[in-house]
Amino acid sequence: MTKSPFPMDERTRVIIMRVCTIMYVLTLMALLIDILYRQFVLGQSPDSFNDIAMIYTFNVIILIGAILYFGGVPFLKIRLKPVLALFIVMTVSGTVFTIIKYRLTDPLSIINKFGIIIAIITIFFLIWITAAFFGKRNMEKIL
Amino acid sequence: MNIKLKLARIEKNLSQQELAELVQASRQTIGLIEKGQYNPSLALCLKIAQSLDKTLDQLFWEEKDD
Repeated sequence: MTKSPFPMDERTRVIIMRVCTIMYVLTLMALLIDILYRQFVLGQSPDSFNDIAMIYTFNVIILIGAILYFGGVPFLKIRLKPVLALFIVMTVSGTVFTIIKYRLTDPLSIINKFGIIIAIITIFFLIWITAAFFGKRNMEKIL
Repeated sequence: MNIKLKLARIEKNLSQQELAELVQASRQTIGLIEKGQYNPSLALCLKIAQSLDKTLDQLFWEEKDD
């Protein structure tokens, strides 16, 4: 058996994973700060950093989906109230952010954007519910 | 501090490095377990116990102080 140049045991693996997790969260936070800084301090057009916003959004969707899938959350025991509260908070904060981001004043365009935001957040929740469902099924199979 | 592990290792005439090689861990990990600063996984506990010809209880069980 050849020896690895970096001998790793369970402790070093745990440390590496912990450091990676912290760095990942810091990167996500830095991306968010970067988006807000460009938007509200530098006053750049939202189109100029859409790529960063997309990366951030996909990361968060996949991160939560992966946690739900690999965590094997007891699907039927998920309480509806906190999920609904989260949905409302996400919709309201998303709408407020969009109004500020695009400087919307016209009520019609605000309602239009509100519909789009609800549709997007519903898609997010559907992805997470699907991940939780398949994660639970996978966990049942293993058990 | 896990004095039981240290005593069992010395009883077997093994250095931290030798025990580490037997259980495929690093010397630092063994040192930290002996100092009580790292909680090993059950898999590693079993390897250590088997290498030192002891049971898990003999090495890792701690009586609760009432």
